[in-house]
Amino acid sequence: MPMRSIADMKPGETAIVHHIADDDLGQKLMEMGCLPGCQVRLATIAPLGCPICVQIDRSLLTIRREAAAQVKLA
Amino acid sequence: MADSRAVLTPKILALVGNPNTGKSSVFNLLTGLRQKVGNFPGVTVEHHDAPLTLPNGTRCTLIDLPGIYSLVARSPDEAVVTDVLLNLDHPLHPSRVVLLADASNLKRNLYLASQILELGIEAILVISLQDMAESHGVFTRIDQLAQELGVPTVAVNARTGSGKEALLEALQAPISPRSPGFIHQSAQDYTALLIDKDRPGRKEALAQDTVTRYQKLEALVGRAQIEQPTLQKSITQRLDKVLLHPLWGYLIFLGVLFVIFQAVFALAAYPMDAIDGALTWAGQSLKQNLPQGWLTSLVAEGLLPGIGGILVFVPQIAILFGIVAFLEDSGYMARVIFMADKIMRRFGLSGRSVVPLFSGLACAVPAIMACRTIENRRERLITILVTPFMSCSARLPVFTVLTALAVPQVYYLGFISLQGLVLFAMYATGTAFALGSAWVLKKLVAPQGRTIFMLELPWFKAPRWQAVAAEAYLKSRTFVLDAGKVILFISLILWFLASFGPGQALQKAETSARISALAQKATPDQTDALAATARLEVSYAGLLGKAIEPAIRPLGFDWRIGISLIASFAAREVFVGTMATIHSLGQGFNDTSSLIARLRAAKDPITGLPSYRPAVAFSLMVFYLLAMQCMSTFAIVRRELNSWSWAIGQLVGMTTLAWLCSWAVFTILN
Repeated sequence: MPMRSIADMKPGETAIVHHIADDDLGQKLMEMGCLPGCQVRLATIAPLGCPICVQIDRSLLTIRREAAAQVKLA
Repeated sequence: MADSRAVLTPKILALVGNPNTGKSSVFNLLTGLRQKVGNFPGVTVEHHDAPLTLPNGTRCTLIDLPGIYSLVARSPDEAVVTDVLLNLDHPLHPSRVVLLADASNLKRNLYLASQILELGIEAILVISLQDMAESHGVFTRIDQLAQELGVPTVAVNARTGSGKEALLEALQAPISPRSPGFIHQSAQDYTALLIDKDRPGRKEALAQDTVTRYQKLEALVGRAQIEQPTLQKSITQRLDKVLLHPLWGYLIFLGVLFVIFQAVFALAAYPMDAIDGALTWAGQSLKQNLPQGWLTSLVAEGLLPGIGGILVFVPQIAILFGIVAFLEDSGYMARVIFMADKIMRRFGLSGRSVVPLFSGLACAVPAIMACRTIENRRERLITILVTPFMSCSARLPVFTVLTALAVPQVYYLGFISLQGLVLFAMYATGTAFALGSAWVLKKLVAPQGRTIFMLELPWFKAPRWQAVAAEAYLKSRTFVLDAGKVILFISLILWFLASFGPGQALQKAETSARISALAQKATPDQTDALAATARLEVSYAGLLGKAIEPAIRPLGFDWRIGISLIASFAAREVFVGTMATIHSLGQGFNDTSSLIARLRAAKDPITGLPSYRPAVAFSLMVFYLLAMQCMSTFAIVRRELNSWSWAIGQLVGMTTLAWLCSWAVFTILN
């Protein structure tokens, strides 16, 4: 079974980040505090289904659906 | 070389921090409103700088660097900022940095701060937005932070101004060198890792750095901050429920856009009319009280209207930037981008392009200045290039006259006016051209490297009114001082073209017009009007209008329209006044219906057809819609892109497109 990603989460759901499949994206997301092992909460999805807003620690971070699909969950 | 610079120029201090940490407020708190906007050498990324004199008399320059999240640049624009910090030979390389960290999101803010501390630059840590953190139940121990990071630390509240003295004190005090690294043992090694993009294993080293840094910061923040859980759902969560709602969110957004439009369009009209009235009065009283001659004409008809043409934009700019600053400062703007991203990205634009494009319906000048908020260089460029297609308020008087000429006054269902529909179609066409050309430009302008969309939605906070006012003031000042020069220059050229002709041509034409008016027993007003027409016809502007006639013939335009097109470069609505002068409507002309009647009667001297038959009127409307006929827009594009070639390219490109479309419309309708 393929791993779930942030793109599969429902609003309000929380999950733990397992790894980020894209290196460049991974570096940027990690710098924003989205590291493997950290908790993410899906805050909201834009009305047209993209971008997606996740809460990581104390920040609300917005990424596009393609990027969210690269953030695999534990 | 480096030494002489150090002696001659004041010490450079730089303000560095994440976006949305109140950086510009701290900057304004320290320097007042003396800042100026500069571009980094060779690129269009801008920074603000201002002189700052420390309590002990040391003169410095404080630079407010654009907000970044990390020293590992994620876009070409960020690379410009990180280069200032990493490259010791950079002309803006600071001797000290002020690291700003938002107390409500301390860990992420210290990520950047700890990176910069490791570069070995002398630094002072400023903790901002403590009030907001405390309202979230987060309390910060400043002394603990200072001790653990080994850096002088000050809490500053930009809203109340508290902490300002302590910060100034810290800026002049000697700083003892820090013990080596947080993670890396030497500043040189770390700098080399950051600069050398081809170093083997760099990716892994940076990833490892990030993981370790966050682990250390997690522990450090745990010791320096005390958190009291608050049961209450945050204001941000509750507001986002409504503001990002699939239905309410967009309705509120449309409402906000409507308010912006109304404010720039209607509210600004009052001060604009006052400025216009004052300058017209000044011009007339100068003409009455000074001896007649070219000098009086230069002042009353060249210089004053030129200055008026600059000042008249100030209310719109101040109002739009006040609103934009309010939206940015409160955190709403980021939500707008969030909601509009998916739609706008299809056209090569950013969610941030929505506000500039929409403001373009009122006036392209403040709209193009509002493109500053678009961080991505390519998206900003495309937005600036297409915004003038949005049908601005200066086109409205032109459309009103031309629709009245070409479209019968018919109502459908008793209330839908055909003229209104045509007007609406012009707005829709303008918008379609803006989005369509953005789509084309997206294909043409290559993206610079891979940019990953990542946007932080800041917590909602009450906007600082001083910041809003400061933004309105600073943007107006920038416009008057920078774009104003070009506008004044072009308006003087236009004045010269309309007031002078080869040899004694103007005097001769006027004399013969007055003689024939006398023969026709014309009233003094009519005589003056006929004389003005005769003068304009033989002036350089008239000659130029005639000279371009072969080029505009295929569009159905004669030389009289040619003159109006040239004069309209001052501002599109000048078309109406110029047409009135050409058709001898005289000074007191105040009523478009008399102009419409006059235009309707005019016959083309060559073909004998009505000069302004529907095919011509529609062709002319399309031309006014699509051509870049506005010296102020031209001037601000040059200023904002810091490039004559983009500004001229836009002028030529839009005008060519306008010519082709007008030609098509005229050919089909004729």
